[in-house]
Amino acid sequence: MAARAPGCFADRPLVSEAGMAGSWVLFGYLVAYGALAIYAGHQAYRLRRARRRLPPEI
Amino acid sequence: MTPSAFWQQVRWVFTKDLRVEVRGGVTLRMATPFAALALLLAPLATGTDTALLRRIGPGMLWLVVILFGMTVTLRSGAREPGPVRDLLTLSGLDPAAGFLGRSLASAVLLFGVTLVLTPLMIVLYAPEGRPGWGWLALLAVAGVMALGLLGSLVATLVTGLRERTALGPLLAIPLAVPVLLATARGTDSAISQQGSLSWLLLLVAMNLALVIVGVLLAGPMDETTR
Amino acid sequence: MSPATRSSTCRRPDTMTRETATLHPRSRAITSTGVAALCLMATGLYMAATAPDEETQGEAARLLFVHVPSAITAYIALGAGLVTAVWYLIRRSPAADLVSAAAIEVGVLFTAITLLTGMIWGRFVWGVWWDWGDARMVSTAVLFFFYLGYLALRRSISDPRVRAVRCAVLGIVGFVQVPIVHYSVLWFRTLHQGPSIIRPDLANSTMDAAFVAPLGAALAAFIAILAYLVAVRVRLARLEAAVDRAASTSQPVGASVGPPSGLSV
Repeated sequence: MAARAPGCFADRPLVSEAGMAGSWVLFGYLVAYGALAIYAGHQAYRLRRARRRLPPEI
Repeated sequence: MTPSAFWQQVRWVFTKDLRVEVRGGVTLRMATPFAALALLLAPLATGTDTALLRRIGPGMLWLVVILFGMTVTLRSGAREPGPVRDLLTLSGLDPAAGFLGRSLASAVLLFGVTLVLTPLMIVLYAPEGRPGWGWLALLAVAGVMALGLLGSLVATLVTGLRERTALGPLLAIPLAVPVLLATARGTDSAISQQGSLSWLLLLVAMNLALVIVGVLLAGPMDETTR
Repeated sequence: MSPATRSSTCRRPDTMTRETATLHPRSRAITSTGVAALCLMATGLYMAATAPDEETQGEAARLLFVHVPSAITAYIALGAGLVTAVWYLIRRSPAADLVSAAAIEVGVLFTAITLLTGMIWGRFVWGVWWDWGDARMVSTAVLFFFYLGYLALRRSISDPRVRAVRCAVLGIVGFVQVPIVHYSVLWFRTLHQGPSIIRPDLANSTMDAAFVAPLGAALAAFIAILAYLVAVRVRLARLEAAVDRAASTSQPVGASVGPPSGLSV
């Protein structure tokens, strides 16, 4: 099974031993792609706002 | 410009900055007591376990020198206030000479802070072992020099910004990690009577890199502070 | 009217002519990059989901299909940011500054993703979120904070020329310092811990083809996402600069400030 790095707490249970592997992988993917989606969404919002603010008369 | 004229300019800026410190005394009267206070308070946070304090003493000293010293170098390494800056520009000061002079003056101030704090750390934390003082002196000189150069570089970048007191440390401290590691770990090695050559070489490399970058970029940086 | 056409008609003719002429092909290119990134992302996710379990880590290895590509993409982005910073100092081209800033901002995002997924993987495999023995983790965190400082410096300078020069200088200082920081942290670890740590790392094992394919697909997807986000960020920076210029020229200072309603003078 997975090795523990030196300095880790020996009394901590490894998640991989607790049989919750799938949900942790999902959590990781959610964090990564969620961060990308939030950033892209924020950019899109700012882009739209900037376009709206460009005064039409010039 | 001839090399001797360049170094004369460096010396002018250096003595000017030290004279400002002698007359104003901000480092001696404010920054150093503040840093000493941090050394006094740290054991209250970690718990006054003597064995632990013995072990962390040298590291705490350098952490305090870097965190509080950075406020010193960011202030003393900053570009001069408007009229002085204009005068220096008009008198044809080489930006690189100005940068080196400010960095050297900051390094001397930081060395002073370190000199004051070291006996205090020994008294408060009672670190074990008999250190090799030669190694410690070399590490300290190389360490404060790197901090001085880094502080002057970053101080120039935040010149005139409203956020400079918050922004300066954020920019400088991550880059000062090698100084912290080299001085703290090097001190550990010196105390346990092993040489600290590798850590010293790291600091020398860092100093060289900072001098080259600082001198090469002094011109472009200078033009943004006028 | 579509947003693209409206923005192009809003431009001031004197300063924006060149950009107006190239806006349509450019925005189409950005959109197609985005679509390609989405397709690659879907492929990468499918391949990651259908890859076999790794021998020692089981399911955990799937996290590396997002962790490793995001780390490589972060390096590419930060590297591009530095090259363009140097380019700016040589040529003083405002476009180089905009690209540099955009690349570094997106690079910081990918660095954050690398750190977060690394921490989740570590909690999963080592049992702790943070491992002080892992030099790369510590040095990546330092790198992350340094570039947060870079972004903060950018935000706090309003003059575009001063901002461009100072940020380029900071980028170059970081470029020189970051390897030193990295190796010092590496050194810190080797001086303090045993030289060899056996751990289930991709670098320690020859990778099976079953893992190379999803990793490559994810990397391609992330690089496409990087290109898309940087392009959008540059375009946003241009638009916002145009808005600022328009605001400062068309409206006298204080024009939007009036007396409170209901106040009789």
